[in-house]
Amino acid sequence: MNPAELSAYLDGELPPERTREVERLLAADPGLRAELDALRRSDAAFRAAAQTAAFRPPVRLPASDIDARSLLATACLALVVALARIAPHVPDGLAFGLLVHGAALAVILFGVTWIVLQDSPAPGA
Amino acid sequence: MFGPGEYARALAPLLGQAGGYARALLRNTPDAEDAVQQAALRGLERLATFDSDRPFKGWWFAILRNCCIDAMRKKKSWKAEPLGDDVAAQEPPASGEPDWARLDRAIARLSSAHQEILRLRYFGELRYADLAETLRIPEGTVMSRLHLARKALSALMSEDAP
Repeated sequence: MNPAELSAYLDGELPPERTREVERLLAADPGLRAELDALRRSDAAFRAAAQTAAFRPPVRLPASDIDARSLLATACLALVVALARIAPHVPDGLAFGLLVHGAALAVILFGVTWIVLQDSPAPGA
Repeated sequence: MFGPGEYARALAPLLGQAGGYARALLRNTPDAEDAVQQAALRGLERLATFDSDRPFKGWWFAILRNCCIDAMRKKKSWKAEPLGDDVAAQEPPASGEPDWARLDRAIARLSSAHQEILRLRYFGELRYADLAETLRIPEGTVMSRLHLARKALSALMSEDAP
């Protein structure tokens, strides 16, 4: 067995077959178990230190899709306002329909775009 | 396609680990904040070079590591805080708490390669594939280097036992 596999075993990085083999060797070898225990102690000390030291710094990124959403919301609102202003100047029969369909279009456009932006898959981290 | 929005979303869950890693390396919280901010912007600028078949975390931590190294080079004498300065008093640790001073002394005596891989593994919580990407070494080398680093740390901490 490669001694470094003991670290990989501790980290859960061995493939299942090698994990079983290392466990079999550990069961049979007290020296190997002592070595694993020593690794576990330094691992625990470092892990505790790292958990306590972790902090989330404030990070500011330039305009992204959050601003795209604000822009979209403004554009949809502007569309509804424009339709409301145009409505009095079109024949009576068309005004109400134009306003309702325009507003519906704005709502659908905004909703679909919002969902698409929200559900964009993140890359494998 | 990997755009700025996806980048921001992929980055968000890494920031806690990034802060801890940068602080462990720079030993100073404001410098760590600056390095993480710098890395976030640099990653965005270099988004076109990111291969989505490779681990994002490993790619971005390589950028963060370089930002931390740049910060250390620029500021030749930065205000170094002890590793657990924000959380540990100078008194002996209570049972179950990390012995910061002892750990700090042991880490300082490790080789730079061993310090590096341990910081990335523990403070950055990088898995072997991410470590291989960040350090640009094969995963087998990650495994053996990490093992040797742990053994060396374990031996140094035993020597320094109260």
